[in-house]
Amino acid sequence: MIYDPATPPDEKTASAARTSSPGPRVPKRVAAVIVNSLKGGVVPRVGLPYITVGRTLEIQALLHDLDLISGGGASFRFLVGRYGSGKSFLLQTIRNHAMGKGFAVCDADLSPERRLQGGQGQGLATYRELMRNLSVKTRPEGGALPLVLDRWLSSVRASVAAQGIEERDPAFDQHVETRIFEVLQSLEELVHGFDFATLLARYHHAWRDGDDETQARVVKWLRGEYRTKTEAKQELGVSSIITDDSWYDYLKLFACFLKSAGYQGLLVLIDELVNLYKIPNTIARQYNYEKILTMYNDTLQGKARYLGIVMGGTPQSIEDRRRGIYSYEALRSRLAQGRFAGEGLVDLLAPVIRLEPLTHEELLVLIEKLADIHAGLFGYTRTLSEEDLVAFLRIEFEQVGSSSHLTPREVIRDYIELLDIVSQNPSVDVERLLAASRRADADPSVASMATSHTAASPIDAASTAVANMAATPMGASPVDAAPTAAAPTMAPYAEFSL
Amino acid sequence: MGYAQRLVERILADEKAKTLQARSQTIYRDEPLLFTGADLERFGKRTRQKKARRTAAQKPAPTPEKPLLCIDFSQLARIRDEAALSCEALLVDEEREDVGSSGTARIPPQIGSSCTAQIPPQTNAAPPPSQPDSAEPSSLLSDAAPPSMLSGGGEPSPLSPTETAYLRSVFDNRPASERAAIVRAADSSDAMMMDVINEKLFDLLCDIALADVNGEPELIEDYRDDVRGLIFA
Repeated sequence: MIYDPATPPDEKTASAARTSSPGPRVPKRVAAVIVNSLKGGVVPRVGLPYITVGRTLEIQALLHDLDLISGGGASFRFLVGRYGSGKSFLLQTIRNHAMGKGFAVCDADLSPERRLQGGQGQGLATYRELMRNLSVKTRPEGGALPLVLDRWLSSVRASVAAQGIEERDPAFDQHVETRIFEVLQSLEELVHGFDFATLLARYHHAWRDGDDETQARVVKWLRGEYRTKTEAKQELGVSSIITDDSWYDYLKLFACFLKSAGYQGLLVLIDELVNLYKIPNTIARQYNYEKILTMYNDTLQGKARYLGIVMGGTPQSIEDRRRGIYSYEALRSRLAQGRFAGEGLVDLLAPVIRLEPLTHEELLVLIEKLADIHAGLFGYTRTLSEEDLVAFLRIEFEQVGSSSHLTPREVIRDYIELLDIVSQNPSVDVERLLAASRRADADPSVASMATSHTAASPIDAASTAVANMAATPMGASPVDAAPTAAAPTMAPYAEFSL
Repeated sequence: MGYAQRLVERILADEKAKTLQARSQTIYRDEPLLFTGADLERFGKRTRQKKARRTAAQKPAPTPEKPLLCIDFSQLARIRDEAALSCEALLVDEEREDVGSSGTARIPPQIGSSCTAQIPPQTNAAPPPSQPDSAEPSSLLSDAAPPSMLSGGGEPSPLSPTETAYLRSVFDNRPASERAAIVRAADSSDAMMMDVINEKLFDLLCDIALADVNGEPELIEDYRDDVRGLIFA
């Protein structure tokens, strides 16, 4: 990398334009969400395809799974990657895409209180979380269960109306009941299907009669929030509830029901498998792995339909032979890599997808994309050349502890800050800024001096900001750590939590 | 005797040699001394050599210092192409249509020294609820999606009058009772009304406009100006 301060700005701009990839255009509102979220260190709600770099084969594999699910099949995948390898990003990307394609998606992070099986309702707690987070395209923030039920009833009524029967006709409700019965009959064949169908029928009656209270109770039941059968019997007249042992059967039922309600299927995303690895009791751990085995067998043997399950975890939580999933021999023999994979040959039809961290080249392309998106959002021509981008990356990777602690999240957050500063100070010399940051890295006193003085000029302000950025420890917000003279001029970003 | 010597040769360390010597004197009182001083020196030397060899074998060979950042520029074109393919595969139809119709340039057309003026102001652009028409949309979002664009550039709004009334009620932060009346009149529910509006606006925004916050519909602030354009077009 040769940094030539004598290079005229026009040539640098031309160089930046040359390195720009001819990618798709990003709508400004999407660009705003992307920039805001990344600066806040969170995965953006929308626009992820525009900043997806690498993972081509992994994405293809997961998209193939979605096709399989919508066609009536089922899939099961483990997404394995170290901290910062992009598991959450990929899960969010697939989640958004699936919702856009008409799937219902539910997700949950495992924790000590949320497992797949547990003596104190930990499995049911996971089911509740999944149902709470049930999302569809028009309600991506979760809580879509009542909407799904309402849409189903509306579609049934609409289909009856389409036959020429008016709603005022006394036979209308009868026809609706018949249509609903047809749907529910197909569900009754499944395990616990009769109870599920009974509850849906009850929901329809309540909906027809305008009985909001009963509707809410049915939703409560379907969310697994009844703790005792007595309570359910008193409030709904049904003598069964969703329990730790049966919740997975209800997920399968939901998947089939969602298809009949007009969705493509159900995608279940479960992250933080390491919490199963951390279960101290061997027997309890094995019960949880047994549940995974059940899910795995069901999806691959055709016992589940319209259902996709993706579980995310660290390599340790999967491959550790003492406590990880591979400690359960039945799973290890199914999931372990075959003799031909490895050494650069990857089988993406295998149930375990291993994510490697982004390479330096991929990271460079990513920040190049972000530079373009930022420039498009704020209406200026990108001036950062490829050399500048490499210089920025070098500064990031030269930080102490970067080899073990630096993740794309931190790099990108710093980078957006740099872009903000450069865009607010168009006359600033980027090389000088980066050089100031390098000096601050090498000598912390530069940074402390920078924070103590009031910036007089835009360049000083920008230099101060960059020096602060470099001096901020990884993982801490640069804005929190050292308010800069330049930062307040930037509009505050709305925060989007996922 | 021979066995004892071999055993000692195998395990002897120079610092323990004297102790063993003393022990052998105790055990074999009537025998001559097992080891002479030269023997001890030889054993000690051999032990030290063995230790040194073991340490050297355990120490990793010095590797040439790897640079912290290593970029192969010949890979970049391939990565860019693959990223474009992934993007295409991940975009859903509505997003593609949006890009085709109202998308903004990926690389902006002009650079200007006044680009700071285009950065959105610090305060929320949202006007007070009582004066929805008085404030101009922020420059950023009006650039992105002018009202005419959202309402179809002269085409009729995608929302029905009932949906528009509901959206306006949310936009103006009017009491929930007003929305309840609209929903009741339409024989629908809040969830269904939000669903229909979001579905229709998804084609224009590539995102939802109404979010459910604690059971109440809430307008996503990013799209306030877009929605204003739609309502008041």
